[in-house]
Amino acid sequence: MPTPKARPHSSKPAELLRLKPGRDLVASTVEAERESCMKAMTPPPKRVVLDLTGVNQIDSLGITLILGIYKSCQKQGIPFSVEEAVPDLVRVFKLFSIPKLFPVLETSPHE
Amino acid sequence: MSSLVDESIISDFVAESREHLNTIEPDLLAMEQSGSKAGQEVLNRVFRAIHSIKGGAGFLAFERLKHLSHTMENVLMLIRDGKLEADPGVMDALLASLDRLRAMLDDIHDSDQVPCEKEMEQLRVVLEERGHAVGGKVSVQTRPEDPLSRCFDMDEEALKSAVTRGMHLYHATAYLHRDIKDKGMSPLGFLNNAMGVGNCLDAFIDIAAVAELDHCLEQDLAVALLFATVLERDLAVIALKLPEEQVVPLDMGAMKEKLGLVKAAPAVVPAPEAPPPPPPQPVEEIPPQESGKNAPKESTGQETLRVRVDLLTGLMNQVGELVLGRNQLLRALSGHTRDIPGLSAILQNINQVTSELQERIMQTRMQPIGTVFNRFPRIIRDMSRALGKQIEIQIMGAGVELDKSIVELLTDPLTHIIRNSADHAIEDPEERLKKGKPPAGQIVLHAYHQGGQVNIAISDDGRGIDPKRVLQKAIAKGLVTESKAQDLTDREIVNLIFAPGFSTAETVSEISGRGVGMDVVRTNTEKLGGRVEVESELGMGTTVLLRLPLTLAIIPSMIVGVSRQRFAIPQVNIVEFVWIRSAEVMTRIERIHGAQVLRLRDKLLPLIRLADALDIPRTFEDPDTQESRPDRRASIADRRSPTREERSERRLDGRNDYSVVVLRLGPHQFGVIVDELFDIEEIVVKPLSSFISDCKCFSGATILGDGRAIMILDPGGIASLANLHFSDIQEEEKRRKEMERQEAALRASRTRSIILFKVSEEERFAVPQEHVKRLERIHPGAIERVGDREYWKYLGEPLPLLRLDRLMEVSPIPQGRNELYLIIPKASAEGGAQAGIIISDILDALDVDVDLRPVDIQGPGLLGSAMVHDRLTIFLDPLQLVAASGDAS
Repeated sequence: MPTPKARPHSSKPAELLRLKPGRDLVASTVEAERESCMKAMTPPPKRVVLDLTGVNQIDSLGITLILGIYKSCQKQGIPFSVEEAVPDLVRVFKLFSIPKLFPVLETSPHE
Repeated sequence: MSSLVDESIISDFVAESREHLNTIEPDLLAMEQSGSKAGQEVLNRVFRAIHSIKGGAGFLAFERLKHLSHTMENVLMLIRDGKLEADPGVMDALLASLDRLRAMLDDIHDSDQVPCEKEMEQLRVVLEERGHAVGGKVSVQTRPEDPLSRCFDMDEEALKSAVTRGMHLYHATAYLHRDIKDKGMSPLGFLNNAMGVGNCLDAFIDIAAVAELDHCLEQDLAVALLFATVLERDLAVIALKLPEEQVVPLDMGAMKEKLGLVKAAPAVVPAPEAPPPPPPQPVEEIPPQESGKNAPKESTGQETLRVRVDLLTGLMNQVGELVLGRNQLLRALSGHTRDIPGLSAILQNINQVTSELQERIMQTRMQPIGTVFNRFPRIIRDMSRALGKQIEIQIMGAGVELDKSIVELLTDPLTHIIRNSADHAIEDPEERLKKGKPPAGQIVLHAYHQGGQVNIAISDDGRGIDPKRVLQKAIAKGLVTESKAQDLTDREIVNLIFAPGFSTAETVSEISGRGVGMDVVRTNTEKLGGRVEVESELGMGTTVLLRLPLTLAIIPSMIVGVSRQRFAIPQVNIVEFVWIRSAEVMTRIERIHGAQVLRLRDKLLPLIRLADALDIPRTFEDPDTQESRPDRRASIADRRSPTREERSERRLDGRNDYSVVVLRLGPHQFGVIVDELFDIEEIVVKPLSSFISDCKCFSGATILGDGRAIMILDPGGIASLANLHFSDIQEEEKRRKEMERQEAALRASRTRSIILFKVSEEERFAVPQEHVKRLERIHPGAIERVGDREYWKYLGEPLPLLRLDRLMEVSPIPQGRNELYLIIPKASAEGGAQAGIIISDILDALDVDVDLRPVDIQGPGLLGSAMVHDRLTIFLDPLQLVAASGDAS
C-alpha cells in the first residue's frame, strides 16, 4: 500500500503536504489511507494537496475520506485541494458540488 | 451557470417570513390569554407559519434561522399535543425566539452570526423540563436533522426546460453507505442510474455533518439531489432505489411561478421530521381579537403574486394621468355626441372602465391598519411585565384600510404614542386603586373613517396632562410668551407638547406623562398629510388623535368658483349645499360674538366667505355693463346695491342669493359662501410644491378636465384661517335652545283647553275643559219646573239646572229654542252640589294662549275675560257657579 508522500517527515511543519494514495479509494483501502493521512498531517502542514494520480475509482467511503481530510484541514485553517483527478472522478466531484468546497483539478491532458 | 438563489428570492423569503411573524405574534398572545380555549386553528396557524419559515430558511441554507424555528416548532408540537401549557413562561420563550427570528431576518445574510443561544436555551428548558413535567416523554427532538434543507445551484435554463417539458421535480436524499455502498453501487454509478431516468439538476453532500479525519469513516453522509423526471413519485422511488420518504416532490406551481416571473416565493421543502399540522377541524374557537381578525388570513386557494411597490406606485401615477385624460376627453367630446353615432356609448364605456381600473389599482395599494396595530398587544404585554403594571389594550377598527405608504409610515408615531401611554400615562395598580380606578389601565386604539379621512385615536385612562405644568415648561423653554400664554385655552396648551424642542426625556415625561419626541409624532403625521391633536383631562386620561388622508391619489371633488377662480372641495368634506334666497338673508344669517352664522334648521353654523378666507378680492358682475366690479359689502347680510329701477324689488333680486357649501370638520360644521357651484369631478391629487406647502388652506392641487390647474381646499385649514370659534357658537346655540325650552314651558303653562259657548247672541263664554264632566243636548220640553227651580232627569235622578242670566248680568237665552245644551261640571273634590248649566250653543273646543283680564260685570265664578276668535269672551269657573247656585238656593 503506497503511503502518502509527505516531505519531509519531521517535527517542523511542512510547507506543502502532498498526499498521494496512488490506488483506488474504496472500502478496502480507505481505512489504511485514513491512518496514513492522519500520521502525515502531524504536525499540521501549511497546505495539503490530495494527488489522485493512479486513482481511477472512488466509492462512498472514498468520498467520505476525502471530505474528512478537507474537514480536518478546514478546522485547522489549512488550505486543501485535489489534483490530478481523472474525468470520471471530476464528474462525481462536480455532481456533488464538491468543487465549491475546495479546488479540484483534472489530470492534465498531455500527461 | 446562474444561481436561482439570488437576491430576489431571498428578499421574497424575508418578506414572506416577516408576514408570518406578524401573524404569529397576535396568535401567540391570544393563546397566552385564552389558554387551551384559543382553539386548534389558532395553534395550527402559528404552527404552519413557523413551519414555512423553517422550510424557507432550510431551502436557502440559513442554518440558525432554520434551527431556531425548528426548535420553536417542537415547542408548539408539545402544546398541540396537550403536553405543555401555553403559560407566560412558555410564551416568553416563544416570543423571545420570535424576536430573534425577526432580528435574523433583518440581517438575513449574516443571520448565521446573530447569536441565539439564549433563546435556544430558553426553548430547551421548556422542551426538556416543562415538557417532561407536564406530559411525559419528549419525542420531538428524537428526529434527525433535516439534511435536505439546503440551497441548490443549478442551470436555470435546464430547470426551465425540465419544468416546461412537464417533468416532476423531486428532492431526493441518498445516504452514501446505506443507499449506495450497501446496494453495491459507486457514487458515480448511482448518479448514472439516476441520469438514466431523469435529470440530476443538482446534488450536494451535507457537508455540515462531515466529521474530521479521525471519525469520518463512521459516518453515513447524505447526498441531496434535485431530480427532474417524467416519472410519478412511486416510480421515481423505484428508479432511484431509494426509500419512499427520501423522495419528496416539490411544489410545481411555485416552481413555475418562480421561473416564469422570477419574483416568486422560494419553494419550501417540506421537512420530514416535522409533518405539517392536520387540516383544520371543527373545534371551538375563541372569538379572535379585533387585531387577530385582520391579520393576514390563511390562503384560501386564491393565487397571489408579489409585486414590487414601485411598480404599483407607477401604475397608480399612470392611472391618475388616465383619469385626467378621461376627464379631458369627456369634456372635449361631450358636445359632439349627437354628431358622431355611437360616441356616447364609447365615452360611457371609457368612463366606466377608467373608474373601475382606478379603483382596482388603488385597492392594490390599500392595507388594513391592523398590520400596524397587531404589533401593539405584544409591546403592551412586554411593557406591562417589565413595568409591573396591569395594562389592557383594546383594538378597534383594525380592518380600516389605508394606502400602503401611509400604513408603513404610521408605525413609528403610533409606537411612540403607545409606549408613552404605557410607560408614563398609566399609573401603577396601587396608585390607580387609590384614585378609585380599576387596577388595570386601558389603552384603546381605534381607527375609523370620518369625513374622508381615517382617524386613529389612541386613548388611555391614565394620569392625563396637567396644562399648568405644560405651560410653565413651554414658557421656560421660550416656546410661548407669558403674554400669549394668557390667551391660550387648556386644549391649546396641552397641544404645545407637539412643539419642536418641547420634549426631552426628563422633563416631558415628568410633566405630562407624554414622553419624548411628540414633535416627531407630529412631524411624521404631517408628512403623511395628516394632523395630530391631543385632548386630555387631568387625572382621567388622554386621547391623541391622528387624522390621516385615506389615500393621496384620486378623490371625487366639488368644483366651486370664487371671483372667477376655481377650487376643488373633496366631496367627503361636504355635508350639503344650501341656497339662501335674497329674501331670506336677513332672517337666516345672524351675527354672534362678531361672527356671522347661518341658521340651518335647528343649528347655527359659522359662515364665512371663501373669498375673504383666501384673501381674494370679491367681485360681482354689473348687470348693466356685464363688467366685473369689486364687491364692497362688509357683512354677508348686506345686499348688493340695486340699480335705481330695481330698488323697490331689492329683496327679491337673485344676485343677492348665496350659495353655501356646508363643510364637515370633525364634529363641527361650517358654511362657506362661494360664487358658483360647478360639478363633481374625480380629481387626481397632486402634492403641493414645498414652496406653498405652508398654505394650510390647501391640501393639494389638481388639473381639471379643461386643463386648468386648481387648488384643492382643506376645510381644516380654511376654518383655521378664518379663525372660526365653534365653541362660542355652540354656547350661543345652547343658550338659545334653553331659551326656547323655557318659552315652550311658559306657553304650555299658559295654554288652556276651553269649551267656547254662548247663551245668547250678545256674549261669549268659556269654561275650562278640565272642569267639565259632560255636555248634553236637551229639549226644552224635558225641563221640569218646581217653582222657580228647573230640573232635568239625568241618570235617573233630577239634576238641578241653572241659568247664567240669573247669576250675573248677562243676556238670557232667547225664547223659542227647539234645543238647548247642558254643561255638567265635574263634582268638586269636596263633593259639593251637582247642577247643569243651561246654554244655547256650543261653539268650539280649543286650546288658547291668553292672559285673562278682569271683567266689569258682577257675579260668581268669573275668572276673567280675553279675546278668543276676535270676540270678548268671559271665562267662567263652573264649579264656583254650581256652588253659588247652591248657596243661592
